[in-house]
Amino acid sequence: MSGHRKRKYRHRHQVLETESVRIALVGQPNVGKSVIFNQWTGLGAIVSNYPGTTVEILEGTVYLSKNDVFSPIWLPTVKDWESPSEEIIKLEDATPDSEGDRFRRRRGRRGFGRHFRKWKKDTEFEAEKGIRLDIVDLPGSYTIVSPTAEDEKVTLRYLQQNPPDVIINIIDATNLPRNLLLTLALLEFDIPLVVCLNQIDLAQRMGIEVDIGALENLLGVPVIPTIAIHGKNLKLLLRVAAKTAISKGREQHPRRLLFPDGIEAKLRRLEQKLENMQLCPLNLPLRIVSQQLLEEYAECALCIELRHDQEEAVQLVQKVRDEIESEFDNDVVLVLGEKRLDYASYITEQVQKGKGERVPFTERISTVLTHRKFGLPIALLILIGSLLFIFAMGAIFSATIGEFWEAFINPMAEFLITTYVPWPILQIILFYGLVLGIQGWLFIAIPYVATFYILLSIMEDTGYLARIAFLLDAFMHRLGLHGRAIIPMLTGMGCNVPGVLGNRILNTKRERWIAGFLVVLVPCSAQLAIILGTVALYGSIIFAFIIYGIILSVMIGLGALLQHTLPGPSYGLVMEIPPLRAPRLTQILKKTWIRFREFVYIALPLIIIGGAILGVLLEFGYLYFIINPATPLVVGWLGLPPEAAAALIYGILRKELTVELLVVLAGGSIETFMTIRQMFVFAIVTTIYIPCIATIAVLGREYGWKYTLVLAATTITLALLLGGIVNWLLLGLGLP
Amino acid sequence: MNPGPRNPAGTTQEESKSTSTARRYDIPSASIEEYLEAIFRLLQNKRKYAKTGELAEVLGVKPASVTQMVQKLATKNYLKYEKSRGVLLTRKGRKLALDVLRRHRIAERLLVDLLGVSWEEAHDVACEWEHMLTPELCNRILDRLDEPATCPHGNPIPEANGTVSSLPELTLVDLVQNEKAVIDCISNENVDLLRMMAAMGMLPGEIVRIVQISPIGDTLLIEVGTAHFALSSKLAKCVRVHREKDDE
Repeated sequence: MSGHRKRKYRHRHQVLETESVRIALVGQPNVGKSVIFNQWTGLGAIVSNYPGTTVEILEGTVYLSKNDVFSPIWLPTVKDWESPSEEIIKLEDATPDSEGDRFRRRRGRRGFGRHFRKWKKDTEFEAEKGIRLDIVDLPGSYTIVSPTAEDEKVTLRYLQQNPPDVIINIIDATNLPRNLLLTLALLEFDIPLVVCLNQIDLAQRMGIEVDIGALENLLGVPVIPTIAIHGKNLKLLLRVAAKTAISKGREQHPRRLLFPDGIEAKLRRLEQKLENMQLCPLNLPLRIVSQQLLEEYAECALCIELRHDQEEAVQLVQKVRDEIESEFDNDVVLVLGEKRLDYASYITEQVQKGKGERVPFTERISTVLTHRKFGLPIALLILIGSLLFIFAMGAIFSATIGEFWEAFINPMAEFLITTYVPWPILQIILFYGLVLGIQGWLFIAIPYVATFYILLSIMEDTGYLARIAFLLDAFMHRLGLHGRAIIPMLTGMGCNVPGVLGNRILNTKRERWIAGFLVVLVPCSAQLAIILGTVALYGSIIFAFIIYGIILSVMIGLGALLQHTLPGPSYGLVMEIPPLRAPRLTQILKKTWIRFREFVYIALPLIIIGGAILGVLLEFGYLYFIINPATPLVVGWLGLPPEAAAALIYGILRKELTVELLVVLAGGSIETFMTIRQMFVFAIVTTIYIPCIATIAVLGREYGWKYTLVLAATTITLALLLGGIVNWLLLGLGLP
Repeated sequence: MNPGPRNPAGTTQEESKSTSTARRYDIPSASIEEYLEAIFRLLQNKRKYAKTGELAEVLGVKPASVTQMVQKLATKNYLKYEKSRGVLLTRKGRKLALDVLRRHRIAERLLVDLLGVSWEEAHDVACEWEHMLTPELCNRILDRLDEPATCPHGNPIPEANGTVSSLPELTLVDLVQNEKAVIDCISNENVDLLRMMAAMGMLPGEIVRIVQISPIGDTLLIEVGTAHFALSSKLAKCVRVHREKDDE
């Protein structure tokens, strides 16, 4: 045991004031933060939006036994990391503590463990629970001193408004200097800090060795090396964090950065001034506030200006800024940034052996994927391949389970309903709502939506999505956007709602406006299902590509038009391209489930209710009251069957309802109900005509109702125009 | 090495060397100007600080007198002098240096275009003339020569207001694949963008490598430290760099 050091975290008899500890995870993007969070909390994580924003914050709860928290903790040293890492695992396993084992067993089953706990609410369980740890996963942030991105601002605001008991700062061992920039900022806060040095295995493969003890000494806070994807040392991290929180960080002596070259004195002067004026606007350390003021962080500057006696402070800030800028002959942001990075690099030099090269193998793949000649063709192949894969899944699904469903479940359900349910109206409701509704939902949700989300998660997790953004950046510039906008667009292919929300990552109002229009036009997975499930399935897959081609040209045209008409400057793309990683099945499935569950909780009930209402209307002949007024347009101009009007109206609720209701209306098979031409026109119209109600609501909230109205009107006109033209064209070509 | 579209390092070095051919400093202000110009040229190639030793070599004077002069200039707030690190221009000093450079290049133009003096000679003569040109004279010469944008050596003539953007600069877009360079400055008016890039570690002094250039529109994939970033060409143009010297 000579390789382990036993210090600082000795057992102390502490009186626990509360039995729960709040832990915030803070880290830069792509450091494995969500992996750690998922390892701890599993599927049970609650996604919530930070008040007033759409940035998602994940919250979850785990329990640690008291023994785990209060027994002494053996910290691994450098030596352990030089030898094979088995020792570390042994170290954790060796905890002579049955409660800990139970904890681990529960965590081993992760998500299910949570549900399991819900049932097992007896006294035995209450006793074993131990200390409750509420873990918050804050959005990935490069900086929190003066953040630019919306998510970074949320991280800062969260730390101000709900200071947690302890912050776990996750840093990437493969890129220490930049990650330490954030750590240095976090050290300024009066919140206990534990640093988690993640991806230590990757760092080793890249030839980087980190002296953890030295790093700990330089930062003055505990540093725990981890390998999050294998779950290594994560429990240890949790224990150290809990312990630190309970002791309120008394053992910590955080070492803060002192700016060199006289900047420190100037900062002090500013701090002093703020203190004298009792201007502590945001429950932030004054040191942070003064740096924010210098860096013109708008939110902070605003608070200062609100005060009646602000004049003096504002002048002092201006003066200090001028002094620094003229002295260093550079923008103050760059000067401060450079000094911070200098210090971070100094720390790195002290603790790191080896310079670190990216792993050659994955680098080579990355080179091919982003290649000047091959990059775009490969991207195109991958996108078309994904589309074909989704189509194949849909076809296989409807050929196997669909057939089975129609052959056995439907007749059986019909028999059961007619036999056991007395009233005809209830029979109709049950049949249309439950039987046909669930059938329609199954046809769409599993093969199309779920498959799409799996593919999207894979692209995201491997880091390919970022590379697409790089490849298509210049193309997006022609639409008045930049590469980053590709991500909400591709997300929009799953569901337009997160796509619209994702537009927040764009910097200017102009970009968001253009992106809003385009994202809404992107066929979401429900619309994809309409395209693939009707015209492609019964006609040919070529039709699907033609429809995609039409929609893409509409988007390009509209984007170019908006780009020229909307005023305002446009930014460019700055985006980190993470190293390529092999996707991990559990992570992919978790991500898919978190995105997909909305289709279970919200879409399914809607479809059942919608199906039931439609069934009643249809059986009692009321449907024609709704359909008749729309007939000239739908039948005359678009050449669709009159009932399609009802489907289109329902589609406003949720796009996939259109097909599901078609299934309902056609009594199972769409083929008998519509010709190929009609399916083609129908698919085009439903993809474009109006965003679904959820998208409209989000658009209204994000962009204002005027914008939403303009958008809805534009899309309806566009859909009717295009639908009609295509209809007459196809008729002219002699398609039935 | 790649012969980029424009490589200021080469020309300025040449110029600095010829400056070292013995020069007398009769007028104090001229000598101040000469110093500042030399420092400015040094700083263009180097990262941040100019060593007094280098300065002495370039100007062809004794290191001791350089130190003396530098200290004098520091008191006048033209530059900042630290014994251990060297000399650094202040805004004031930089402005004057740019002004001298402007006059120098205008004089060169005049000499080459109107008087038919050879390039090499033009440089030496211009070193004398630059101190005599008034702004009024400069404008007249420029007028006469149809507002040339560059000096005969191909370096841009700084604007009268001393704008930095008109300097002979290398930006990220001028580099080719796999080329390395050191960031000097990010010139973007947008403070948000500046903060974002600073937070991502794109800061002066950092070494950048061009990993890939995108098939359409020259979006760059760059490596800073061990991290990779995609950068639109529009932004890459704002990142001023200099090529890394082999001896560094």
